[in-house]
Amino acid sequence: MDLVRLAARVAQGDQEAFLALYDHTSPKVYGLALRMMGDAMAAEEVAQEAFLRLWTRAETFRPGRGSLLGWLLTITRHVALDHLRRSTRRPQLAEPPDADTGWEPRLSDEATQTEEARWRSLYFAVQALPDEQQAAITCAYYHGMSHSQIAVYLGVPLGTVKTRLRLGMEKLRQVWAEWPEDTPTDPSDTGD
Amino acid sequence: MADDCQNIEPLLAAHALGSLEGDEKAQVEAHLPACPSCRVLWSEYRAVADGLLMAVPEAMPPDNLRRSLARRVAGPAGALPASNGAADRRLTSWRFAFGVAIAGLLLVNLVLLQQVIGLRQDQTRLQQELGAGQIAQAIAAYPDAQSVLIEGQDAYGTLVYDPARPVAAMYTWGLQPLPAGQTYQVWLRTGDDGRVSGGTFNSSGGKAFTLVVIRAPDPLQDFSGFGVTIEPEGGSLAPTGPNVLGGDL
Repeated sequence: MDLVRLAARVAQGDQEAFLALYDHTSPKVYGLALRMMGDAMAAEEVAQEAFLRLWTRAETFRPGRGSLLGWLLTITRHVALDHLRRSTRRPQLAEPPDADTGWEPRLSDEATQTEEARWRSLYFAVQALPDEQQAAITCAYYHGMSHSQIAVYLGVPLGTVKTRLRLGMEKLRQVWAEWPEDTPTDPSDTGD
Repeated sequence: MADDCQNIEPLLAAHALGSLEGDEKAQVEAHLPACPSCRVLWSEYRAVADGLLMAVPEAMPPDNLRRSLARRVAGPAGALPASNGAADRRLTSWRFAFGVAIAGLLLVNLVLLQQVIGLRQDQTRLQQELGAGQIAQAIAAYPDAQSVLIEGQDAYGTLVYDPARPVAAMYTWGLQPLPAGQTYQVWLRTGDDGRVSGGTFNSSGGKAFTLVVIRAPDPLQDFSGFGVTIEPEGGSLAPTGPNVLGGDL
């Protein structure tokens, strides 16, 4: 299934295309929302808002600047961070209980086997990081916390936070670099 | 520039994750456009950060999310009905909990109100009984006080009175509580065999005897006898029901 074409139909107000896109991407979107929010009800709210933004802003998606899935997940992350900043929810550093930690990917037609394998290897590389590095990266990326917020939350000096982030990200960068570039995966500079 | 890079490079990973703030963030943003090598490193960290979006286990959303979205996108493109789904369910849950709390408070209030009414009724009855007891004591203490036996089929008692006064105390035993809508009524028999009401009363449920203060329009010596009948609630102008007690003065 061509997700880019579906997105173009969604931009025209095609409800069937919207639901088809939902069926293909919702496990990823909901999985990310669940990872960031830590509970099912909040994750459902985030996923719903992300898909509604897809419905109302599909015309702003630019295929040349990244994949549709990446664009949608970037929207999801922004929505989740907005929710987290508005609430007093404490970050959940571990995997939420509903997540499928067995990692049985449901490949969309847009994703190649190489991409999926690369994401999977990155996931396992994150899991293999020392706990303190993993916690620092989780706080920063999945919970939108600044250095100083992470230091307070983890109860460590600011310099320790910087070191843990740098060491952890350097390991992940090396793992990521082992995989050949296949298709554009940079979703960050798109329309959201 | 090399000195700058030494300071900036350790911050690039955090910048890619979005956790830099303040001066450090400004320094990195000022440095990157002018430094190709740092820009390459930053883009690699940025690719990792973007990969973290995908490097999350999938999870199946609840079925109602799809239904909710389908309902919301139905209709003209871009026109979304008011929010529903999880937020509405949370709101509905709060409303339900609030409603239950209000209903519970109302129920508690009703119970308390019933208890207050019951207590006030008990208080009124006790005050009446206390007053009647004091009157009865006063009558019995009169120098010319007399007592007569009164009898009925299932009840009996004593009437204590001073013939010169229009008040008497009647102690009865064996009078059963009456059903709702009925009352006992005291009658005083005049010399021409007429009947004058001496008031109404109800039996004291749960007590062995009932004390009734009878108030007559004239001194008791003006009457030849008295009786008690069962009448409709509020009393009658003349006896209409069965006579349960009686006696001569």
